[in-house]
Amino acid sequence: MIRYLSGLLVCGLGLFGGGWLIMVAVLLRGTPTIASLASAGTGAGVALVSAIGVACWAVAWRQRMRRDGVLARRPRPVAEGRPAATVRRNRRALRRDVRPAARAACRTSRRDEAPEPDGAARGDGGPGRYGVPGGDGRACPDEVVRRDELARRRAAASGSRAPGRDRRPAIPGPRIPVAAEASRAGPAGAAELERPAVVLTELRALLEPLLTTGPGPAGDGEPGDGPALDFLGEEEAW
Amino acid sequence: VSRAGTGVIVILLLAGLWLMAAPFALRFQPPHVAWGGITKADVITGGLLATAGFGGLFAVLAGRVREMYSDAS
Repeated sequence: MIRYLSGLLVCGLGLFGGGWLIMVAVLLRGTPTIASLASAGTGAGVALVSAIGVACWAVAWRQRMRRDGVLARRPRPVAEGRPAATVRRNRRALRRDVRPAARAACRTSRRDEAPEPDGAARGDGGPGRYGVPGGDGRACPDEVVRRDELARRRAAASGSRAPGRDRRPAIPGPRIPVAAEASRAGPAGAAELERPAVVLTELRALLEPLLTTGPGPAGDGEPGDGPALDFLGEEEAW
Repeated sequence: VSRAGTGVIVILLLAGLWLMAAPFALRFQPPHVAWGGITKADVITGGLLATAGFGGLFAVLAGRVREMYSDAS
């Protein structure tokens, strides 16, 4: 502590001495001579160097006190919201969770509904769910691929028979009732038909907050992130 | 940072010495003539600065050596 105090004392004295030299050169000013110019110039230089010295010793003392635990370490700035890595992890987990749920919902809807006799199913050219024509992407993706593959195999097996309206898949696709059937089934039936969509909507509403992030996180939140460097963090040795 | 502070003290010591020598080195104070106001101010301020710098340098050195002793023990 002695050396910091003595350093601050000497630099403070130099600051006053430089100021005094400038004042003397100004007060005793007659015609500007070499003597007054030298005195003022030296005083200005001494004052400037002394100010730098005061700052250096103050910073060094603060570093020393922070290292000894007298001063508390400055806390690292924390950004609002979740770190970007957490948001990415949440998004991946959400994607992993939603895919099986969507597949299960599609399978449940297929199991609950009886197959349509004319083979008009989703993605097959017939009327789709809620009266929307099929083939608009409402069917499960894996079902569409499977159905196309089956149709291709059947076309290859039947030889010259061109695919037409009467072509029926080996495994009938899920039966999607038309709007008239949904209205005939009554409110309970309509609610039953909309169940997978409702389940997906609720799931998305539940997991939506996990996908939001705050503006500009300071750290990525990864375990590899090191602590922030201290300002003027210099090794205290000389 | 401590090294820079020590360097500043050395500069102040040299500035004090220069202030004491400047009136005679620049020949605006002829010998065997009574000193003018500028010369007196320069010599007194330079002497103070040189003394303070010398003492401060030794104080800083002494403090550092004392810390080294306390760290070693």
